[in-house]
Amino acid sequence: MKKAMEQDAGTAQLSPRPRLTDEQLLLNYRTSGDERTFALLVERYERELYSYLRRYLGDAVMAEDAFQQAFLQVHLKCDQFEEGRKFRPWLYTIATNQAIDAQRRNKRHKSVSLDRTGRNQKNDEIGSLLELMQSGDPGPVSQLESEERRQWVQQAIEALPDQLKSALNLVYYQGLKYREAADVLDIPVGTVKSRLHAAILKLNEAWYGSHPPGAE
Amino acid sequence: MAPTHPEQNDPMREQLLGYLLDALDAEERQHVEDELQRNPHLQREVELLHEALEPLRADEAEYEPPPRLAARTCQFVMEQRRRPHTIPLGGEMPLAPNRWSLADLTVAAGIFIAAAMLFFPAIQHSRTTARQAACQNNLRQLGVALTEYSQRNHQYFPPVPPQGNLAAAGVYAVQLLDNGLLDDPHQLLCPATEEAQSSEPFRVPTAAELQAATGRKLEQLRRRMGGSYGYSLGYMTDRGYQHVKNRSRSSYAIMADAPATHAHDMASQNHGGRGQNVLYEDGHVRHLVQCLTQSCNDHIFLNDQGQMAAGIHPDDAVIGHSSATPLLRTVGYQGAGR
Repeated sequence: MKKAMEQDAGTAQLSPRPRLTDEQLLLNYRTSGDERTFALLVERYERELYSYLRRYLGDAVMAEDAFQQAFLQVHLKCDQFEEGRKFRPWLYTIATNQAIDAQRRNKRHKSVSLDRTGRNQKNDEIGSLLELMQSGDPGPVSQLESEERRQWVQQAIEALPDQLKSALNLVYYQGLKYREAADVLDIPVGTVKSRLHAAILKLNEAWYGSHPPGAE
Repeated sequence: MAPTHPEQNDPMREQLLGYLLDALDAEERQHVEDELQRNPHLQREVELLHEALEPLRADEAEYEPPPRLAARTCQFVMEQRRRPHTIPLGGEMPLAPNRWSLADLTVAAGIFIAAAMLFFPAIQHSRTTARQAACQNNLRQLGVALTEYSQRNHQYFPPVPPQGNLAAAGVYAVQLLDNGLLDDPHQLLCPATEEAQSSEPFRVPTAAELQAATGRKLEQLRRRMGGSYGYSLGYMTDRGYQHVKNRSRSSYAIMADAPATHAHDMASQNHGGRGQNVLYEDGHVRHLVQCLTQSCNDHIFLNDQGQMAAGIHPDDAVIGHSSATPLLRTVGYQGAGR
């Protein structure tokens, strides 16, 4: 116990070590190949990138697979990373490409999947109707609980065109700047802005279409 | 919650949205703040947009990653890193003291050169043969994917639209991948080509990406999307442009090593001009030294009018490179179809 206290005191006297940036970590890994440096980078993005892929793909297993493949690509392509560039948008570009590939690979299985919400709006409506019938609520629209509300948002986002969904995911959920999202999606900044705005507009219309203000 | 419907898609509103979501650069942000101080109407706009974002807030929580995802990912990557090398890269091997004299080295070099002269052509030949076989294997797999596509689509192979952004032979790759019929885009690269050996990643765009692309970017996507293979451009009849239907013909070419854009006879350069592998409708693959099919002397890269465009009758097979379009603008095909 005493030893631990001495250690603590010793640590407190040291000046805090500056936290390395993502870019510095990647460049260090590129030159040294140090596994711990790479691990640090993966840990930093574990929650954030998984959450992005999970939301993008709508499936936990696919998201995990895409996460691992994305970091494999980071390792394979770290030589191509240009100094002076930001790591985060570069990582999101790689991860987005992995997610697109994963979606393509899964397309065949997706059509027969019973537990995943499809893109078909009719099916979505049937799904939500079934849920509402099971809940037995007489006036479900006015009594949406937060979980139901969350599900509604997820389904509405899933029903958005892919282009709008990507802009929404990157800017709203992942907090990327317009410029960074444009970099990831390889489109002009103005297009990101208009797609995000269109996504919000569509979601709003859908929300007030199914939840009229007078009903609340 | 008040019904707030942003109705116009104007640039200022997009900037205000970016301001609310902290998506603007410092300079843009400063500009918006200045405008907000000057214009009370814009402040009301910000409030409306804030309310418009309200429904989304129900789903803001991050997803919890599965246990030890980071650790397992590192382990996975490091395993992949170690796999290709049996001897650690960069590791120094202990060197024995050099006891070789100049005479020994001269003799050894002479033997090495003689052996190289003897065996190099054989090694080169076997390497060429191996790549040719690997290419044929790629085409067979693509043949399986195309057949599966045709079975799902009333016997039609992936169509090449006559107009628009998707009007290019390479669109077959987009359709196979988008329909989940191809696992790995690298199957679209002939192993003998530089592209297949390059460390640059090869990626096929989605149909949506193609539709959205313009100008030089569209041109680039169309040129690369078909990989190193060419695909059938369909044919013309009295009723106009027709997509190819799978009739399992053994003499109708559906895919091949991509034709050269500059060589006068269009012979593919994938295998150094030594011929091309061709996939036929019935799924068999054959290596042709010349560009003519053996059974009917049909040029596989040109139609019966000598153009790389849709065939002029149902048995006139034409394989176009990735960016080739079925209808030539300068030729009177439109007239032929009507």
